[in-house]
Amino acid sequence: MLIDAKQKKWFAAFVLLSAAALAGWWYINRTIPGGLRGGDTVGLWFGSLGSVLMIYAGLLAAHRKVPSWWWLGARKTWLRGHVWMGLLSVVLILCHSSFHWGGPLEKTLWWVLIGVIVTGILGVILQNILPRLLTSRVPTEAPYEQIPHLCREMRRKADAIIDEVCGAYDPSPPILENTIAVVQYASNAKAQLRDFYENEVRPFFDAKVSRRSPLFNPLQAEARFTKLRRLPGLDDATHQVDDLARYCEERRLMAEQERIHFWLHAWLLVHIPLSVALLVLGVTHVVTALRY
Amino acid sequence: MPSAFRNQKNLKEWLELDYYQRPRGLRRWRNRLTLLLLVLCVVGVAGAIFLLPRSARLVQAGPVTSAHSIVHDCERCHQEAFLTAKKLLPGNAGVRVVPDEACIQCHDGPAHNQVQDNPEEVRCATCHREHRGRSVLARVPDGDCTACHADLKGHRKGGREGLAFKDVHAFNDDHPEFRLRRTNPDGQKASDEAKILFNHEHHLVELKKLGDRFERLAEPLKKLREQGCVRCHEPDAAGRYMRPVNYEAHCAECHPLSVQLAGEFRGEGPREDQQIKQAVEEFNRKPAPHKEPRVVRAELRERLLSFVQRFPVVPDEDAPMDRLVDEGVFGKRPTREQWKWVKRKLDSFEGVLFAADKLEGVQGQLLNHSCNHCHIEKKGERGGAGLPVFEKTNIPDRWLTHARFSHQHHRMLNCTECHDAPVSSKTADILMPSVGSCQKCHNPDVGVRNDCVECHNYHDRRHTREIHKNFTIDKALSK
Repeated sequence: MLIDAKQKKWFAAFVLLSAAALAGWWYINRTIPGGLRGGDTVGLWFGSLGSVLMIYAGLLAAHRKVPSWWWLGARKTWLRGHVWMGLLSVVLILCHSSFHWGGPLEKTLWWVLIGVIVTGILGVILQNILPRLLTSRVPTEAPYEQIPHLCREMRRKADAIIDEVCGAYDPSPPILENTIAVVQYASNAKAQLRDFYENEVRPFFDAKVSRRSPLFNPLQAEARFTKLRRLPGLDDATHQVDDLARYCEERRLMAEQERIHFWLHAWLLVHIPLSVALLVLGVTHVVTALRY
Repeated sequence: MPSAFRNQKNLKEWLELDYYQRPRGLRRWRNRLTLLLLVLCVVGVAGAIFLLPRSARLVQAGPVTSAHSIVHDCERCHQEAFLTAKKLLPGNAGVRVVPDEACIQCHDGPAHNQVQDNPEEVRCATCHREHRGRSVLARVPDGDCTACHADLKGHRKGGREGLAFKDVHAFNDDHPEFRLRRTNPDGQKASDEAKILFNHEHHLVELKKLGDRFERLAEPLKKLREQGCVRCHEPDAAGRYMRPVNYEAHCAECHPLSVQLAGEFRGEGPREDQQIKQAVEEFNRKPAPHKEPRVVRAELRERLLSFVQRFPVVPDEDAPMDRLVDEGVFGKRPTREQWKWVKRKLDSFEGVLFAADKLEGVQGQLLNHSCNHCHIEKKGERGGAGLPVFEKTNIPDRWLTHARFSHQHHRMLNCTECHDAPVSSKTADILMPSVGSCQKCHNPDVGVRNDCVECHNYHDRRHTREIHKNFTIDKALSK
């Protein structure tokens, strides 16, 4: 979600409601002897409203799992509400607690809430930076979930190309019993192509690729393939070698996409579990606080 | 730049069209972590509630006061469940989750007064808020007092009628002058109503100038110079208030009720002369008792009688016998002559003690030993057997009865910083400090506490009732 001018109204609502809540807290806190606390009627209302906003923010996950019914509103709207009303809930909870840490359960709740908010803010920041980076660095974006499948497909097609050029693959190592055999093997372009493919290109199509592979560097990859193209005996296979180079480039871009995608979504590894913890602990707090 | 291989037409060749149903590692980890934390939280909360001893502490928003930390059973005070939730309903802002009955199990908090109007304002939990840390629960904030005292007429039965107190918002804003120091509507200052004659200025200033002119006063004056006010005003054991000034301890050394046998007393020989001389000196050394006139008379008569019976003296001329005790009751029966002598001496002593101010040349003398040097005689009123009647001294034990004070906490101060004793020459002068004197230090700018309960008690402890002592130690500890 981009934080842009389209969210002026949300931002204004957040600022105004926060200011109103803080002003209300300040005034009431002054008038109540000993100060306002969460157990007072006004404090309870601050806590209730904050909890409702938190639940609303949490419902974004549920919203993604139901069909796009028109009366539910657009997901974009829900996402904006998730961000801004989630932030507003923190202000209301601060008023509810009167800026106190509270007891052991409340302190735990505070730390979990801080974790949720910090990771959420981090997520918003990352989502404002990384998608642009992804677009500029990875022009051929593939569905993230399909990248392993695409790698397998590319490897299958690359295998077919190499088999077509070099013949069927013989996994047994070549017999180099004398110097002549070595020299003959070295001057055999197809053997070198097969060797290069089996040792460097084929592993590059694995689901997890090493960043130390020379093919990960576009310049080094291009140099390797140029060298191959110049080998005598591969003149009639230039087209196939070019296809192989394009597959490698595609794989490199996919790896870059995976890397950016990881950072784009890794914060959710903390944000969502903490949100669930916040829900459980929050329910415990509500029940015990209202019970006593 | 589009892919070199993939395009809209061959997508099916490259992609699994149901790929969105098969999440990759990142999402799988996210789901696993979410489930793990969910289970951990649920198990942790359930375990803490059901397995940990004193798990209630975990859900307390703040610890209870140290006095209440003995109570581990929440239901001892929170007797009705979900009262807090009721506060969210309209008109229930005043609901208190701890009823007065819970407090009265261990405490009795007598009412502030009988004219409080709003029953909600006299609920224990209205002012005493628990779970706010380890502070003393009785230290209620000023707002609890000014909720009523800022507008008393609106919080008492009868409104303004009979209202004797001014509205107060804060000690340093509009706390009225202490009643003792106020000027009444006629412009008259309040005065000390004690029936005693005492001149602080004379004792604190003038006497110090005397130096060692009087040998007999040298020692007491030295003590007075060294100890100052504390020479007479001694603090109680707790150091809070001053004990009443006591004649024997504080006055008698300089103001003995001296009675002297004057004249020549001769026995039948030198040996008896010496005995009589010693007996006279002994008699003269012992002052009259600091008691009511009839007790003074009785004791002096007893002393004179035993003197005269031990050392018979020449009887004087006839004297009326109307003041003699029953001759048959006490010991040896005196002779008529002895009674005459006793009466004559007693008249002389009583003249010195009870009416010295009428004797020529005695008025204003430094070492005046008569009763009316300090005590005020009731004019035109005579007691039994024509003795004078003196006013009750009427010195209050406590001056500011609506507040508490600790001299111990102010011991670093010179007494005269608050009490204007060195310039007071009359008993009627009020020497209690003014509220302004307190406000010099007790204000937010200086930082010394200035809240209401620093000085005032809310509960009228005169009406404290005995509570039922039905707790055992185990029951109190919720075992």
